Amino acid sequence: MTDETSAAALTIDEVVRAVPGVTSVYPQLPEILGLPAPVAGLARGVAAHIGEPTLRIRIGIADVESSRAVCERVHAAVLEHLLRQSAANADIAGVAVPPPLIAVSVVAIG
Amino acid sequence: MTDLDNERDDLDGHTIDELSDYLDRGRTPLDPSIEGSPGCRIALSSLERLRQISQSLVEVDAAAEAPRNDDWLGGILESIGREARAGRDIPLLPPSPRATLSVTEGAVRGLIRAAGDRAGGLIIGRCRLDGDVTVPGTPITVSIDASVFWGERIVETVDRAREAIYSALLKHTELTIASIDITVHDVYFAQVAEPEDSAEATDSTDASASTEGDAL
Repeated sequence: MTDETSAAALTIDEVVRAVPGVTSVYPQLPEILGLPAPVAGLARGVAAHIGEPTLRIRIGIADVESSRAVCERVHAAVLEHLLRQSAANADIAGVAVPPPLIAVSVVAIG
Repeated sequence: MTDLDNERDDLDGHTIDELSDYLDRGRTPLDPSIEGSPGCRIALSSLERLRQISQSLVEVDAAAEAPRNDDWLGGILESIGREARAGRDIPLLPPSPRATLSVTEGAVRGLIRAAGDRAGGLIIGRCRLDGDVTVPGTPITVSIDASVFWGERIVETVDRAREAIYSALLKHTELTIASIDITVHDVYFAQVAEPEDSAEATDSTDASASTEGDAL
């Protein structure tokens, strides 16, 4: 397996956790509610049909750098990951899917 | 809806009492529903700071053989629970039109509380952001209630806290801060141990305030 393929196999959570300055990654509402995975998936599907698909990322950060600096790094890392995944999928299916909107929110500092 | 219901909503189903017990147990066994909740994490940080300060108060009280009114502590605990909730999203300028970046109001209130407490000499009670924080450029007033410890110069202590809070807000948000209003409601007969590097800044013993628990 090449490095490129390994990187594409990472989850979004793993990508975000690896960003310097990020201390925690918080689950979205379905996980907080403890919904079973299929129901949580359904909830996300419904949400995606209501508006444009948005990847929402909630993070805790250390009080070292500014929120903005860490958020921008998270955004760049996730976008790069999605583009890599999209390219990998396009090689297989022949169709490249554009990345969703990315929303990064700092929910805890320090 | 009862206060307890509100508190449970704010803390993802937990209460301040439960979080306090969890701290007593040394955060073991690890509870994913607490550790995975930003509201709970913010409240835990505030509780830990409050415990350090209140431990100092208890020691001073014991030495002075004076009974301590715990109403103020209850008020602060209530504020911690209420203000740890996520609240509104405070936007940051996005790097592209396909991205949105934000800091939650709960994170900012936690930041203000931490900055104020760390400044020394006072403890933050209630904290409120007045104004539409969701619209960039809107003037925002930060309203804070605080308790100051006996022996501190109130004006200097409040100025120090205000500077620390302003600096934290500048670092982490793009809010237009119109003012930071700190109202001192109580003065307590206690001296909080300060870090060595801030000893000079807190070396003021002007007894310009009333005794324990007296409202100004």
